[in-house]
Amino acid sequence: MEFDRELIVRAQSGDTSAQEAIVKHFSAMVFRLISRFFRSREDVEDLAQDVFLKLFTRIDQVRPDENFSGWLARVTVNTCYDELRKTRRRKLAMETYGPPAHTEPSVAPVEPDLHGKARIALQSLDPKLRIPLILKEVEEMSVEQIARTMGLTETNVKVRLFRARKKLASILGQR
Amino acid sequence: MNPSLQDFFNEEKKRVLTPDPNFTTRVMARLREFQNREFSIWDVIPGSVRPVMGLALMLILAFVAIQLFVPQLPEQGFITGLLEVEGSQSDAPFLYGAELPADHELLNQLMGFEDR
Repeated sequence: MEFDRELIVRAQSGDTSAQEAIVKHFSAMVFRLISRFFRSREDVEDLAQDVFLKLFTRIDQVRPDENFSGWLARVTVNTCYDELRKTRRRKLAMETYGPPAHTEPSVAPVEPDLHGKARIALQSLDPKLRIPLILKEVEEMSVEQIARTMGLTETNVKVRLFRARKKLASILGQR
Repeated sequence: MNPSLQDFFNEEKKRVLTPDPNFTTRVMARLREFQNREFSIWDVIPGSVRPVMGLALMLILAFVAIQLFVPQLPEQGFITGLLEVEGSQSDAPFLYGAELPADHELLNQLMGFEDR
């Protein structure tokens, strides 16, 4: 479906029907992108709403002639990055200062299958490495697209991809 | 790449969440609520700077409160104050070491007091 750039101009002037049309047009893309990093539907929905709120509060910064979907993808990935960092910090704080974990569980934990192992390994990666890897391997973006979306240089993206793969291999090798 | 990892990525490509039909309505409702919200001074300050700003504001308020409510130190001590109330004008030179008055009559009076 072709996107009418006139909608951006109308949304900038506060036209709610144009804003609604933009949400309808791009919600599937935003949902798909967020669901690459978050699995629960509630998390994805909350973050997607946050992305559209950010979009409409900063819509004055958008030029109608620029790549709007690229700009929105950037806002989406940045929102995911912030949330992943917060989650990681909370997890680290719980591990450091929270109550001690039970050392002897009453039931032996179920050994995860190969996909489960891969998922756990991926989740243990720093968001800085995890995001470019998922964008490359799952979203099938080019290095140049990842660089633009994340606001990095292409060399930086390549370095991060290399480190992410190396770290994943070492984690999966240990298990 | 590890084959299990490649399989995992291929599976992930198939996992797609789509918004439900009411998603747009919910976003628009949140947007309206956000636009109708009254903005305070804290909304202008970026989130990362807020703790520092809060601390600075508290320190300033504490300083002002101390200045207002804690009394200033008196210019003379407690004992000096008491002596000043009890003593007469003629005792002042002995008490505070002030210069002797030029009044001859008073000087003679004081010297007579000494002689006795």
